[in-house]
Amino acid sequence: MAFLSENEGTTRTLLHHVLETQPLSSPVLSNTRQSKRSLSTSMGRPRRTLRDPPSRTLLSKQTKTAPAQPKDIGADGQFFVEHYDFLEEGTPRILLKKILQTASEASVLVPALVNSQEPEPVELQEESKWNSLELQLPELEPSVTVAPGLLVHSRKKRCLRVSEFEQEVDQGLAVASDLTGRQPASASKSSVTRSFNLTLATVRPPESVERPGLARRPPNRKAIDVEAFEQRLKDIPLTPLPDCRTYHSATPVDEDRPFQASPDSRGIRRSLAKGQELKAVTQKANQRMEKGPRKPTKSGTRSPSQNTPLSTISMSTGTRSRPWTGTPSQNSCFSAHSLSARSSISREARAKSGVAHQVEEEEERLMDDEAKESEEDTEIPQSTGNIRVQPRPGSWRCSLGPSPKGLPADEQRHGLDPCALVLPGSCQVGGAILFVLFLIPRLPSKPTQAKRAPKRRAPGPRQPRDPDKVGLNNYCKAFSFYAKIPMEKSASQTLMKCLNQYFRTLCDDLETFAHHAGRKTVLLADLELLMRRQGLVTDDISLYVLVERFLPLEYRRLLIPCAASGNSVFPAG
Amino acid sequence: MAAAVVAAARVLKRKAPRGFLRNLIKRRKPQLHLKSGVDLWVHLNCLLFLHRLAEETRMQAFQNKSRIIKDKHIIAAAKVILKKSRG
Repeated sequence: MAFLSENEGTTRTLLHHVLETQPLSSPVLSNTRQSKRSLSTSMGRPRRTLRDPPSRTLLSKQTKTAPAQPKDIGADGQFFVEHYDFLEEGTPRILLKKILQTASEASVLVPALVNSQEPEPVELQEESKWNSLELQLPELEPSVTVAPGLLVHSRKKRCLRVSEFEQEVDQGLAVASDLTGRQPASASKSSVTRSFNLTLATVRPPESVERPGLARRPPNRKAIDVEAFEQRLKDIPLTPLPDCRTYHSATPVDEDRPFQASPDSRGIRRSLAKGQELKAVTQKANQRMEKGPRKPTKSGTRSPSQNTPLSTISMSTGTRSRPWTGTPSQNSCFSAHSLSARSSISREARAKSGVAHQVEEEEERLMDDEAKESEEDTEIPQSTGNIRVQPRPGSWRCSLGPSPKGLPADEQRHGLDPCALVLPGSCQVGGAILFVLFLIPRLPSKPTQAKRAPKRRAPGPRQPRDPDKVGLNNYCKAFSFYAKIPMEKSASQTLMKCLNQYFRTLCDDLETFAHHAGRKTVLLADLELLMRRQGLVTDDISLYVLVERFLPLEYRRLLIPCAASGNSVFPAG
Repeated sequence: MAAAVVAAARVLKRKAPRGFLRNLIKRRKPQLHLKSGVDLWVHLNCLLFLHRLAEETRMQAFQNKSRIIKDKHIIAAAKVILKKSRG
């Protein structure tokens, strides 16, 4: 070690010199070589006076090899350099290994395997890593070639640095020099370790492989979510609550189903729509509780997010509660769920709670219990708007608490529990029972839902409308922006109709103009003529003025032709 | 409906939904071809139409002494503006 230390010092300096003097050569080759050199030079706490940027990167990695190298090369920097070249050709791996071995003593982690693996994988994966992963390094330490042997802290940051460093190395940036210069002795240690860690990070191919996949995933997810969500919206009157899902997940029983929330809820709703089968089931309800509550819970959870469907469902559940023997709590729970929906729903829920309350005369007890529970619940889920809970006297709140409050019927308990779960805040109670209970109330609601479902779910000409809806929404927002005063929601429907009508006439006009000119393609001239006839463009107001006024800046260059020198106009008319 | 009133938008979208416009016209008039930059002008046309419609709607709302835009305001305004935008 002593020798090492001496060597390190000397080698470091030598390496530094080497690195500095070494010109940047081809990325890969030079990197590998230089990295080794850098490693040797930038041992442990290298003052990284990066000699060669690529080498620096490798240097850090090869810090471990550095100690080994001095042995071989000697204390002479230049001499080392020369020898290094010589050595390079020989066996960089060996050098690295040596360095690693020697450095391992000093470093925290020094797996022999790493040494052997690192040189190759480091090199190979550096590039691959760079390419595949674009890690955001908190600090650019390109020169910090992670010594493979050092696995002190395998943090992502370090890995990032390495990858980034590698990138730079590839590009042949003289990062190393900068880094070595920047990194003072104080940071050297950490940097060294980092460098080592970096190499390790790069060494792990599977990780790098995974990351690109991870990086790619989010966009896919988003797309899916939107579509799924829209579908759910269409299919199900009640929209599931994302929050509730978590609660549902808590319940072990219905884990599989409930959490699929949207599909399940949809299924449940549909089943509800058909729902006659379910009606009969008080007894079956138990069985179904498992199934049903899952779905309703899901839908219930979702419903809070969407106002209208919940309210209706709660209504239905309330009405159904009567025929539904022994599951008034369920209904209430269901309604509770719906009520627990977001603020928008709360109003409706309150109204409905009144209805549900009336309906469930029998369940006064339950309701009281529920009320108590609801109170508790209200306290808990304050974030979710306990207000909703309060207006509903008790029927809503299922006893989240595991101990049903004196509810004789298991169903009731169940009903309460799921309700509790559903409650935005308190859902976390999550017991299987809750799910089941929640399911039960669902059953009665199903028949009511069946009535409503056809109403909601009959979009009719879905296809032509749906794609338009999304796009037209943007124009609705534009309208709202221009109007400056608030608008009613129902008014937006009217607005969409107006826009449809407008687009219809627009297309007809464009076709007429093109046809009049004997063309089948709509050109800019047609548009201009259209705007003139509309009275938008007059002698006072030119077309381009409107462009400047209404369109964002980026479009000006596209739309307004500018004459450049040389008789050329862009964009080409 | 709860929350029946939607507050006015604060920020206007910057990008033009070019793909949406192209699909719209293609669906209505499949035999019609569109030049490359035409959809931007169509977007401009839409914005101008909406602008005029919004102005008219606002006037209608003021005339009715209402601070919120309602259906009837829009319908009354649309009658006027659509006629104007016929070309």
